[in-house]
Amino acid sequence: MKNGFRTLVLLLICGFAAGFCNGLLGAGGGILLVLSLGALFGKTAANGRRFFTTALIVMLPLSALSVRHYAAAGFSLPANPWPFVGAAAGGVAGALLLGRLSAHALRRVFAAVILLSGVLLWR
Amino acid sequence: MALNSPLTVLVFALFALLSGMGVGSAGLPVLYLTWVLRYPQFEAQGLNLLCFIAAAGASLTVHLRRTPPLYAVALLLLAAGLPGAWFGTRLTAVLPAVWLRRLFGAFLVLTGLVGLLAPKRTDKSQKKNAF
Repeated sequence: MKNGFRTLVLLLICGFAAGFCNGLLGAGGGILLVLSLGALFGKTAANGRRFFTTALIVMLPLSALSVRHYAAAGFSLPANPWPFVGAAAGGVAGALLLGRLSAHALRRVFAAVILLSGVLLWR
Repeated sequence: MALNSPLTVLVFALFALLSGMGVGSAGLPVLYLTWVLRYPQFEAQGLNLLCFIAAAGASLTVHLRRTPPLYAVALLLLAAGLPGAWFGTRLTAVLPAVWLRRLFGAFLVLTGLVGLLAPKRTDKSQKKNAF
């Protein structure tokens, strides 16, 4: 019971942090949730996929809410839909490839690129 | 180059592909938009959110058929995430652009380190009674 309450509180903190990060930076809530769920419930390949789907289903409405607030603060919604049509097509293709390709090596290369980009932003 | 150029469509599709595969795009469209297309940080973040909504919404149609989410957990996370998103967006609207850029840089460094240092997931490491 005590452990259940602790998990509940940690989940609420993780949810708040993910929403805050996504609202503040326009990104990052999803990875925060996947990492948090992994730490709370255990990291396995099968769990990872469930955490990933859970994070997506949470981040979708949170991102929509953030866009609404961004628009109220002056962000102008683009009239051209094509980049987002491309994103939707890429998202479906990526989902179909998930589990068929080993994403581990790709993730390492990608992480190095992200790390370098982050350092460059501090110049 | 503009948002409607074929290269931008391709770049968004590529980042979404990585995101759909679970590698994560980690807001890299923001870097493309600020460095290549010279968008202000705030505008770029808004466009990144739209890119995520398109990619995640479309990929969920596939993911949900294969892997059911943890609905109760998702509800809790969402309930706490809504006020979090509200505070985050309020703060981003008042923060100076240079700080927003640096915070984003710090986030990328952290994400990169986590990605580099994270062990490979295997089913052998499964915790008992995970759910």
